[in-house]
Amino acid sequence: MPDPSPTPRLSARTAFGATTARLDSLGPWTLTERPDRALASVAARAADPQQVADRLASRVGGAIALGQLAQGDDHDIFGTAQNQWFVMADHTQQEDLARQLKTELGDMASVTEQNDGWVVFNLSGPGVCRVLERLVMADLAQMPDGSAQRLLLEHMNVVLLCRKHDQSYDILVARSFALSLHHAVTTAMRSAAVLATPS
Amino acid sequence: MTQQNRLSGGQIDRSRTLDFTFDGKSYQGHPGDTLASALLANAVRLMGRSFKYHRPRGVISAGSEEPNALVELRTGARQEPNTRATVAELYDGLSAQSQNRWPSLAFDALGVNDLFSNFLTAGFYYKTFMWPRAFWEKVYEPIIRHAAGLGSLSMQADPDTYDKGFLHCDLLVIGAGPAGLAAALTAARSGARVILADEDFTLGGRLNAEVEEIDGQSGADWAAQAIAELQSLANVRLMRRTTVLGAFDHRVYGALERNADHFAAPASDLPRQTLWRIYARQSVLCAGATERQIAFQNNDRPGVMMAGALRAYANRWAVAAGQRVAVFTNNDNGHRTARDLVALGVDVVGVVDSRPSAPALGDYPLFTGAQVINTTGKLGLTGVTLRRADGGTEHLRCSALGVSGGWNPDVSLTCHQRGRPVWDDHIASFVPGGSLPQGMHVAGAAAGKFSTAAALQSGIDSAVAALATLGLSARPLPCPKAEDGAYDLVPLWYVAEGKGRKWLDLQNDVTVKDVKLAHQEGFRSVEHLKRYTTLGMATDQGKTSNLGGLAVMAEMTGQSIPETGTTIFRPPYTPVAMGALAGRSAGTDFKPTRRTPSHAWAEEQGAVFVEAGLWLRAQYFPRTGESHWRQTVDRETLAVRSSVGVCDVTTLGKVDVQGKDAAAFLNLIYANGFSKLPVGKCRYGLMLREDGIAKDDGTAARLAEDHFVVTTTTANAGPVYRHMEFVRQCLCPEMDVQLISTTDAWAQYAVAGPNARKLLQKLVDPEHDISNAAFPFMGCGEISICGGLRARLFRISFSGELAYEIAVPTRYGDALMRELMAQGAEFDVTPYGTEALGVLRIEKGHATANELNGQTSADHLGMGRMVSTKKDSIGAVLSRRDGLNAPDGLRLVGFEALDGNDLPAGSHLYAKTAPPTGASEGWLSSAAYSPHLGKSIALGFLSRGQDRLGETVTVANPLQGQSFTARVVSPHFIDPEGERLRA
Repeated sequence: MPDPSPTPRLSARTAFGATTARLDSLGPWTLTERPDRALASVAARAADPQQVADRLASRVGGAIALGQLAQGDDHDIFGTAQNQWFVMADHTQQEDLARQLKTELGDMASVTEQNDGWVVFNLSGPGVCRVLERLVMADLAQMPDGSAQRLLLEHMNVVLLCRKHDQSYDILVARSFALSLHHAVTTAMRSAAVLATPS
Repeated sequence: MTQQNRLSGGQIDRSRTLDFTFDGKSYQGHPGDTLASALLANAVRLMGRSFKYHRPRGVISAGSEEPNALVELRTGARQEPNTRATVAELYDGLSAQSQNRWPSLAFDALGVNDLFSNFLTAGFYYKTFMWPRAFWEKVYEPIIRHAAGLGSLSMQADPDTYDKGFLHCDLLVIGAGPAGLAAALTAARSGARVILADEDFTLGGRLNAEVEEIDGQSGADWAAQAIAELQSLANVRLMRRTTVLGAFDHRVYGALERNADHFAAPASDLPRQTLWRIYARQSVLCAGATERQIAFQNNDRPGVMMAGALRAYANRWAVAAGQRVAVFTNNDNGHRTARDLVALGVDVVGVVDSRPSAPALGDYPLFTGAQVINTTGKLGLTGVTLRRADGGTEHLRCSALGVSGGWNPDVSLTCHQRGRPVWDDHIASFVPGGSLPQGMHVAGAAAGKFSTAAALQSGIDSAVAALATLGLSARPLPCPKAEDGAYDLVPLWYVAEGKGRKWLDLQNDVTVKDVKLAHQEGFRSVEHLKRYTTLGMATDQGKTSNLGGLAVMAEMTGQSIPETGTTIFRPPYTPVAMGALAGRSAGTDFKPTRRTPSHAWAEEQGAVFVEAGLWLRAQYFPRTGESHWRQTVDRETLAVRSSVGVCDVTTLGKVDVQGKDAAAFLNLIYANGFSKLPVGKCRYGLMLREDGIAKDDGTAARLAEDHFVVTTTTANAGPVYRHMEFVRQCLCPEMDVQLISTTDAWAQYAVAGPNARKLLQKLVDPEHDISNAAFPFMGCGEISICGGLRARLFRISFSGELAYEIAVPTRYGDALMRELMAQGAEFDVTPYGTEALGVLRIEKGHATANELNGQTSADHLGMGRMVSTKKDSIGAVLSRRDGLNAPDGLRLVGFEALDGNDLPAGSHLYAKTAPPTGASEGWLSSAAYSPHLGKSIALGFLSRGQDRLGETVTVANPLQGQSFTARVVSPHFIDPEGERLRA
């Protein structure tokens, strides 16, 4: 992982304690750790939630409903609750994403840095729902491109983002769970891969 | 000669031969066989011994209802007891052993039980083992337990893996017989999302077992064609070898898919079984029907089986269960068996039909108005004796007898949510009642539609109706042309003649006489009948026996069968391996694990880890030469007191609290005041439950007017956050406050000890002054370290020393720990774990979860005055209840060991003058050896503790017969004035 630290004295590690992102391929599927994702949570304050929603919408070219992932040029935003969103950006470019947002939104919103609160994985490959159906109770067929759901995955609280149906999903989990989540997903990938192989 | 009972035809692949063993003897079969069909093909009728009397038993069915043919399948760690041979798919190298016998199946020593059957009737245990009372535990129970049980466990860990998953569909079709296929085709062609699940490895249900035509082709061919079409549709998921085992709330179904049970061992990574949770908007239950017995004397000999099973073995598996076959029936269906067997060249010696006027379906001897009254044979049937209509008897020599007492719709899944089936006189059986699980429809034989034509039509109709409730329009499939014969039955539950045993429940050895005895002794309720006789309580849940038992009870009570009632079917429909229920949550994967930012570094140091909730925390860091954990912990503790130590405290919960009303919100959450906390300051906060009991404690740091960071204990991070959200959303939605957890976002380390500031000053960027004057005790701030990395610094102390907690974005946590160690080398910086952390806080008298244990109030903790009376806060009012504020109530105090012993935490406290028995005056909540003080110390709650400083008390640990003396002291063992932490 490129070192985004402004200091030469402290270097970043991935959620696995490594210097490079984890990547696992099993069957047609790939699980990739994405330490290059910056994250910030935005919660509108009481005064003018609509304006906060509008400001965020302008970053992705349209309104962001709860349960929806909006993908813009520089930002991806998904709604996590009423008047609450998560904003994703490129960590190598915008490690200070939370500060940028706070500067823009000021007293209209509460902004919290979540860069390392969560670890982002991408799970992709054709027919990847065969893997996900072993992990989450979501009705994946009803999750179109650009949708988001908060779910349990092997007792872990995750956010599932559908980037392309049956093809590419982001899974976000609290960073300390990274190893357990990785184990759960790669185990399911192995199961699905071997079951897809004619016996 | 091998496979001497093999007929022509059938759905087996004769191009391949499979070798297998049963009780060590080698046999051969073919792909498509079950273990039962292959054994029958090899003329093996004796397959097991019964549970109680160890009677020789053979297979009676061809499906999952089988009560008799239970075997131990496989060997070694994969050995599985109680596997039904009727559903065990044959594979090359299969190894099966009979069970519940010793030394061999043919000669079983416990067969002696059968000689004492007059004594071993229902209720035998309850009546016999009454006295002497002391014998029950020491004599009777061990003997009974040794004799009881079916099959044996391998006593080895299961080497297989199991999987779980979640599926969704518009329509779940349970069972792929004619009704299921018709329902699935109807729904699938409409575009609905369909799951079709069947427990068999060949779909088609009875169509594979019967000789009849659908639309001019054989039923099996029609089924294969339908399956091929379903297979080709993207909106259909066909699930073979999948048992829908339960219907649960919210339209959820459990289903077990057997991925690898038809292999000797699963391929690498192949989960043996998958337990699916299916969310079905609608379902159609097409589970078919189960044939029932007619009980008569010695109706349990190997070779006596259900007539439908006899037919299935012949038609599907090309197996004659015997060379000479008889049939005993009370309905037309039994005649089909005779007809099909005759067509296959089997010698049918007679059909015994209890109905006076029964039509023959073919060329075989027919005895109308007759009943089978006994059988002969020892380890297998050699003949049957029948009572003719004219009163005479006749003995028919035969090796197989097919019995058909009629068919019972398989209503199990309709009952899983307390649905009660209703009686249908036409078929003399129960059919699904009105209170079905939500969204469930029932079709085919499961609904009492026994002809193929009626099954097909009801499948179509059910699918159309089910989809209509979803607003989906399905065009009904043109109903294929199929057999629509009548089902003419005159109920006959058991043959009255004869005093010998007439078996109802073959797995639990329950006879007609047992049911009558239960009635005689007053166990007449159907639930009492079940438990007194164990009828239907075996692994088959009485699929072939329950109704017979009810019929006998009904006769005894003079009530009708529906008045007598039904027992409740419960999930799972068939037994499920424990491993499948566990799924992937086995061993260390039983629960997820959370790792701290310094985990990799701590591993490098050889740290010993301890579980703290889901977290793995470094407990202590042993060094070369330290042979006991106490040596390590003492060293770490003293290092903090003398120089500086570092401990990863990331696990403490962190909640970001922002908004215009953030301070007011905290004022409500915490018992003490927060509204006037200045920016740049931290404050210790005590949180109460609504009932006034202490909930949690922690600190809140004010980073801005509208921004706080609240910390919680590790254990309560989740519950406190949930509580705060509840308060925010439900109790004071008018407050403009926003909460979010940031526990994982920041790596946070405690840096504690007299040299803590000196160490940190080497990391903190020079523009941030952390001198005592500029950054005093309880100060906090957002700073930068190591040349610009954003960080947060809190001057808070759990150890009682000059201490800070420093936080950086988690990805830099590993580097920060290494930097602290490198820069701290000149101070001999020492990493310390949770053990030393505990010793330090006990020495300081700080409470943790041991003290905030859900029983203690602020007063008990010595923090009564923290509960502000100048404001409202959650729990404040109820904390003033008398019971929580009694002057003679418990108080947190310290204890010093007086006799050199360790003080065991959890010990009870007694006044020195009182005997250490009965109600105590309190307990020790935390204990440690204090290397600083050179003695064992403890914190605990003692009645009037605040007034008893200096008193000697007895510390009693009756669990281990220990009793010590300790002096009551202040809980603050070191630096009670707090000079160190303010230094």
